[in-house]
Amino acid sequence: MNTIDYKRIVWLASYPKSGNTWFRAFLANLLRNSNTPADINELEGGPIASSRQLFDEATGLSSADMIPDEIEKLRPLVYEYIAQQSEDVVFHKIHDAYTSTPDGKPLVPESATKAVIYFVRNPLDVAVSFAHHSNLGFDVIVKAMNTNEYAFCNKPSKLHMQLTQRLLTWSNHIISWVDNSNLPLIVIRYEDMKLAPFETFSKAIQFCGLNFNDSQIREAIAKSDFNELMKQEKEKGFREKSPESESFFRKGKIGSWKEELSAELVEIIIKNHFEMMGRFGYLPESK
Amino acid sequence: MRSFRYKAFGLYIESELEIPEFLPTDEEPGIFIGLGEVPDQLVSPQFIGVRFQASPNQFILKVDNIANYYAEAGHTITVQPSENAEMADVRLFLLGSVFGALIHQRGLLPMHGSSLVFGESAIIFSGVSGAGKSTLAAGFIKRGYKILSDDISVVSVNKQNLPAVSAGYPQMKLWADSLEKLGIDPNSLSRVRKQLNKHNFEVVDAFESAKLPLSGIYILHTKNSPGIEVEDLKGIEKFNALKNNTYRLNFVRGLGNNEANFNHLSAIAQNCFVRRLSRPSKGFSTDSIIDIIENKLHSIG
Repeated sequence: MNTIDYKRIVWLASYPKSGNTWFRAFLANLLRNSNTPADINELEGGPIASSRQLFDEATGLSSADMIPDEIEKLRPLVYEYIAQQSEDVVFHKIHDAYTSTPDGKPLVPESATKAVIYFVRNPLDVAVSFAHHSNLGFDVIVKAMNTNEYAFCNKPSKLHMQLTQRLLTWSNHIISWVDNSNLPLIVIRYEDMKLAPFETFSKAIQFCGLNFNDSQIREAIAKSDFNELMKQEKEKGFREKSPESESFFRKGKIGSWKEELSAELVEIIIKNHFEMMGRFGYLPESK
Repeated sequence: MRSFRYKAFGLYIESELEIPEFLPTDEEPGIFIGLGEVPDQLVSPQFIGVRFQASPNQFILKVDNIANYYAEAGHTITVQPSENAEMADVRLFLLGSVFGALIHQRGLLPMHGSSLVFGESAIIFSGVSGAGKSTLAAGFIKRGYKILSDDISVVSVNKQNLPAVSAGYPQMKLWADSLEKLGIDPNSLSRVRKQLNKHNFEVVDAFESAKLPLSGIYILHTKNSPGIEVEDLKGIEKFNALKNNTYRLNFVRGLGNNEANFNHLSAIAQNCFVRRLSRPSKGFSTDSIIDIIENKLHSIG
């Protein structure tokens, strides 16, 4: 019997606030190729891997009646199911770190994975953006970014709209995907998306084995320009915005930390994430 | 073997498994629940999910370390509990997904939602898991309303094609967080499962056991902006909203009863209102939503 290749999911993986949503807007514009910019409320890459609805539909079980370990054990099978149900390449966003389930299996199975686009951004800017996004103090976020137990949607007393997502520390999130996953993976720096959009977006698209010509890529980049995303959010809102924040598309700048982060917090982030910051070119020049 | 007779979801049931959540009855049963061996897989499954398989008249669900279940032709359920499984856990998935499949097999429509009594008819509050269906239903009960069913509402149509909702069973499941918002101490209630901070909330006097005509459906949504909005859905949007809130729509794909599903959804779309109610995901009160719904119902008369 010949086995069918179900490696159809391209994961858009990242720690939060690292350019994932921007890339999804680019993808929506690239894949749909309409005359007007794609609606920010219908981006590519959904539903997110941690969607509760996705899990319930795929398994036939109510995750609301399951304990976290039971849910996590089935998550790799959910992704295999998605890959098998898909006729072609599909994109899914994921914020979980690349971890193992309680029975020792990778959360994200190789058998369902075509590629991983891993987005990374200067943690100093991530801290600023993340704090605004969640309406929390910079110090709280800096601490979260250095907490290995940090997770989304893990309060045991209530039902979250999404499943629990373990993020690990900012550095360990990178290590989990980039060094430990063994999946075909390309690292895309947020800063390169900003400074050299054509080269960077093209590289990501080619890595996934998709064929688009230069003008198509340039057009999709133009349609997902930050100002366009901001304009649309102002006009009709963005459903992926946190209720805690005023807007999702805020500044999208490189180096916001210089104006917003205290020297003390900058120091702490550099100390906590020195190695990974050095590896991706994020150490401030004076250090 | 000793057996028990119950009424739930508008169905009469004989069960080898004791199901204290259901109401006892003396009526002749049309459905049998037995303990026994569940086949490992279906011979020719039409649809395979991660933990279920479905073909016309056959359905298997596997819940690791709890039980395997086999529902046949809308009248028989076989349960094979795992070793050392808690019977409360075995019942939890039986009363959810497995009954959902059985209801589909009978050509009835299980809607994912809780139904409450308004005057002489019922309204279903539907929405995805986490939208706040049960919390809202509990809020209505606190105001003196009666509940027909929590989480799954079984809709049938009569000869005139008019939809009605059958009574489920007099118990709800509420998270500690929701109970606290309702002013109920979670610790005063038993847990749905030992490891979950989710509790059994028995509705004794607030339970309506009659089948009632369905007047409409509210589909609960969350949004990240302030204010509560209610919008009447029309046309294809109305139909799709109903379809998407069918309990375990994926089961229909394997069970092959698309036609029954379509007919029920059409009957609801023709005869009932469908409204989308969007509320902020944070910083809202259940009472304010109930006020809006009450006003809306009174203003229409």
